[in-house]
Amino acid sequence: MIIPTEPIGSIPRPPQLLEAIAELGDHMHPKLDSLYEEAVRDTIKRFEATGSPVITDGEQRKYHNFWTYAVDGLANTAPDGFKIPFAAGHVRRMPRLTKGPFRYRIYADSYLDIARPYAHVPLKQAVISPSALSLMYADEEIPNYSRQQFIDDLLLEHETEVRRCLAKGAHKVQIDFTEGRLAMKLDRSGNLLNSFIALNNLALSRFSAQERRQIGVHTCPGGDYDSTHSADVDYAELLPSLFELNVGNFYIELAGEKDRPRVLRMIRENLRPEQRVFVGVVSTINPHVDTAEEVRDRVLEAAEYIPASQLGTTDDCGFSPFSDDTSTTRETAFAKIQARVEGTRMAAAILSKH
Amino acid sequence: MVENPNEEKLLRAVAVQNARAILLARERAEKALRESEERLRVTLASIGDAVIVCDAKSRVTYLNAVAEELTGWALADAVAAPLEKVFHIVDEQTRESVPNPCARVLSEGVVVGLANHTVLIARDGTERAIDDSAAPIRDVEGNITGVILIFRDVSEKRRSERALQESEEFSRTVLEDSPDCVRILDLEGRLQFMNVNGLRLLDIDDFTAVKNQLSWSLWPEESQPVVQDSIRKALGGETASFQAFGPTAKGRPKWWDVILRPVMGENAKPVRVISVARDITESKATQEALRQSELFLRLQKRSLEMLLKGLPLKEVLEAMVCAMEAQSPRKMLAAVHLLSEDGTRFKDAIAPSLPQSYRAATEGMKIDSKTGPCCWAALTGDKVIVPDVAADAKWKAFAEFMAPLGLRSGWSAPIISSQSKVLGTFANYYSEPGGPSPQDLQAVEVLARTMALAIERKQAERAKARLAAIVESSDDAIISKDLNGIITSWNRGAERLFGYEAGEAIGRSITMLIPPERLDEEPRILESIRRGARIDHYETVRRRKDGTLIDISLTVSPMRNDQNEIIGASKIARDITERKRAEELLQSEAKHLESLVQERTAKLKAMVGELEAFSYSVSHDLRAPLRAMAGYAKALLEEAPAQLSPQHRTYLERIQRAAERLDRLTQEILTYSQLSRAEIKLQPVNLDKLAHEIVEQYPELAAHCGHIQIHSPLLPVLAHESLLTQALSNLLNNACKFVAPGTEPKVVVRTEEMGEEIRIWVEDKGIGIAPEHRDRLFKIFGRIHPESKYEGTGIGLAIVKKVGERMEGTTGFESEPGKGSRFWMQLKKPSEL
Repeated sequence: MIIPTEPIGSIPRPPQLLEAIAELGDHMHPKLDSLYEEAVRDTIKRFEATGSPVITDGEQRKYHNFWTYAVDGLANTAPDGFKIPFAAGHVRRMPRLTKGPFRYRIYADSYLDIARPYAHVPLKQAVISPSALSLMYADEEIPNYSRQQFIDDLLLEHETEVRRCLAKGAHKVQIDFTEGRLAMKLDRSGNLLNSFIALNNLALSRFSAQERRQIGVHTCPGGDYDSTHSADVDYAELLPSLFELNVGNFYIELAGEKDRPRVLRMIRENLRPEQRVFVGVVSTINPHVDTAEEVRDRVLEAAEYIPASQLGTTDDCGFSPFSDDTSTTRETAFAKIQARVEGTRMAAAILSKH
Repeated sequence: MVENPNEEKLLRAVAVQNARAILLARERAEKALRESEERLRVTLASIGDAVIVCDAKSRVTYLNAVAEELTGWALADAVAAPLEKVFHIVDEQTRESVPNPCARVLSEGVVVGLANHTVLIARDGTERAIDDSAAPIRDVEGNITGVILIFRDVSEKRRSERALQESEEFSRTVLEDSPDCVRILDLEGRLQFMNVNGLRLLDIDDFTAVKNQLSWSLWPEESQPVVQDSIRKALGGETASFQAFGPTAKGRPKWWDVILRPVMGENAKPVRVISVARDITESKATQEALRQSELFLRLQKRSLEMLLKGLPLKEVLEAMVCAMEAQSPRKMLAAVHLLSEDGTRFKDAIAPSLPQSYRAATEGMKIDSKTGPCCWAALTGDKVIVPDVAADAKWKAFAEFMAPLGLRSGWSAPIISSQSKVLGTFANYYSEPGGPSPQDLQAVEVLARTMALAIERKQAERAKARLAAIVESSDDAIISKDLNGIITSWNRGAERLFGYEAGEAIGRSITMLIPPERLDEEPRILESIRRGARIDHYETVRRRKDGTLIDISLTVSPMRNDQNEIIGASKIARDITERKRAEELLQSEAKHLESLVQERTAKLKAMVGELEAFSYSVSHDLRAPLRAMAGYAKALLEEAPAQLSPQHRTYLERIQRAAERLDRLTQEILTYSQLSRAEIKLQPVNLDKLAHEIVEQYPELAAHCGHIQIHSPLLPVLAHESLLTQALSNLLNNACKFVAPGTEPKVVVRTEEMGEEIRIWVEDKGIGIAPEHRDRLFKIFGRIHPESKYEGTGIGLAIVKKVGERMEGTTGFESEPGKGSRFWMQLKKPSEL
């Protein structure tokens, strides 16, 4: 038996790159291209060394963050968008759309272009959800660019990005949907979450069932500086709606949850037969490096609730989703990833005997 | 928690507005889906083919109008009915039910085509041939929710196909019977069919070995572009044709005339290509030969034109060499070598493409040096082929000569005249080893013939020019005339002899030169000429312009054209006036001389007669007193010996001996003189017998007979016995006589056959004869020893010589002083021998 295991995405960037960015004061400066590429090469090399059967480029070029990488630097935006508050007290602020039309500045498939020459195992690519970017259209109506037009453009841009990634051979395209829990936090009525689900399903409906088997949705409390933006929202409020998404794979933070069996039960109740859930078996905000045995035990624990044929393992979240490259070191990240890979294999071996 | 309650409020407001927009977007999407479904339904309804839709349990959920018509089921009746009921299909040939395609589509999720020969039986029993497929219907999750069955009535198409099949069968039979190579290619140009005759023509034993191969790949590389291009055209719907070279599977060289036609299918698009290839190898060879022949004819014509224009032979030959090089399919260098007049060495080399060193080395080369193929071709009069100079040690010197020129092979053909004389050689050289093709050899042969023609023509021109110069510079008058006696040419000699200029004479009748009394000669001359007879040195008289007559010697020969027809006569007239005068003078002198000779001969005869009579009478008359003197002396000695003193006695003895010697002398002179006058008749003489008799009977010899050795049998001779006796006895006497004092003579007589003659040898071991005496030995009174030493008259050998001459023989001797002499007389053999 094989239990698939995949990373979420980001890996802390190497110090040389960080120093250069600090020195130039602009993370998009052309002089950094070679350093970014070197960071990608090194990340892939170390990623492959962990034995992870599927890897990412560590999202080395998503320096701004996983949420706004596609729109960062757009001329028709203003920096005074919504703030994303974190439990640790800091905020991340979104750009605000000032005029239409809405277009991505970067599609994530460009990261695959850089990573593919170095990779020897399948690469997955994470993209931001339409629902996350929908918050860029602020309260006030933009002249000559209706919210309806914005939603249509947003869906088109998202579809384009996912198709480009699939066309370039992405093993999986993972839609980062960390705002699910945040939506419940903001709107306890669930309307906001439902609208997010509806928006994302509209986007997913543009793909065939076959294509959707290569697409997944990741949700977590939103880790940043070893903190979260919505860990205080109970999964019970999120998961029933989450599984309404017409997608083949879910990547769900679990290792950091206090009551994993409860969450696993909820997953079991809501998971549809054609869907696979990758549960987080290593915590990305806990500095403790999980051991393979700990991972193994978590997998075995998950397998008690979820059929092995629908089970996979992952990291709870990216190790540096908001470009926090120092709270967790690269070494820690790869050690945790290695533990995930080994622990998953150990668990699979045990499960094979049963 | 949220940093700012207002901001949270605002965010919520945005979320609400977004939710509305998202809702609207979803409604739009759903509407679009509904519209799409409606469009699909309308499409299905209006589609030309029959459409049946089933659910996952093979129950009919929808029929379009065409399906209603073909099945005979109305939609309302059919909905929810099992598909097999509505869509009843059987095999056209076996009449057995055909498995329903929906079951397979549902179980395997694949598109399933109907089997061939499927017949749909409508609700009213009507049967229709159908052709179509069934495909799964999937929901958004990819699950199979039903089957869509699309089919059409193909009864008409099936009939057409059957007709087409029959037609194809017919076509195939026709193709098989075609004497040409017929191929069928698919749309990729791959070979699908070849008729039996095609396989035979291409030496293909097993068609499967070539089936499905790209058709052009079966052609040689150089032919592939044109083949590919033609196939491409045919596949594009055009008829294409080409001619190309393509050997058979067994390597037999072939030329093909190929026509490719597209076979059109439905929609007027090509579905395959038919290629018909005709073996045109023979006609191609004929064409090639014709082309080459035309080429050579043009070349011959051009060469002759160049000759006629008076261009130098070298220039003409050079043009031919260049033409040969240009028409050769391979890189070739050619050369012509002209032979010297005596045919022993090469004179000029015409080799415009070869370096100067080649010409320098070959000009003057002796052909018996046997250096290269040209030497051999010139020596043998046959072509010589050297496929590889390095392969045969015979060509070692030639290989060394050719190596710096980068040449490896070649051949040479002799240029032979119409008189079978080798005029030169024509050589072709190549940088690669290899022998000549039949075309190469033919080309060389034809060109060599043309060159011979050119050379001979040039030689003929030169000869003609030489002749013209000779004619022009001749002292004799050389005139030509036609068969009507009209003058056609007139040289300077004629001008000088007859006084007419050429312009005055040409065109006029030859009779202008003939004196009136001799005009009858011309018709006779012309008559002889017409008969082809030649008139040699006919001496006659002709008249000069000034009216004077001249003696001429006339030689008239018939002139012939190329067809050997007599077209006129050439006359050579020589002025013999002087000669005539000289002859006349000579004749009168001769007559005078003859009379003088006759007169003197008569006088001489008379004188000889007198002398003979005198010598006879002297000899005869002298003997009587001599005999008287000797007789009286003898009588005194015998009758009065006592009265004689010893001195007187000595005187008398001397008188007696002198008289006797004088008598002998007189007798021999008489004999000698008689020898000249006597009539003799030669007849066979038994020499052996004669010699023995002489030795035995002659008293002078009898004493020496023990010393004379006759090597019997001596061969008989043709002689006069008496004269031979005289000569032989003289020789034997001399042999016995001329010996050193106190020495016994030793004589050998023998004969030797010398062709038709016999030589009689008389050899002695005597004193020999000194060389200084040889000349006078046979002369009368030619003594060489004083009589006191050796007695004799000095006439003996003169008689021997005279006898020899009278018997038509010869006489001679060999001698060495102190060792002896060997006299011989050579006479004819008797005829019976």
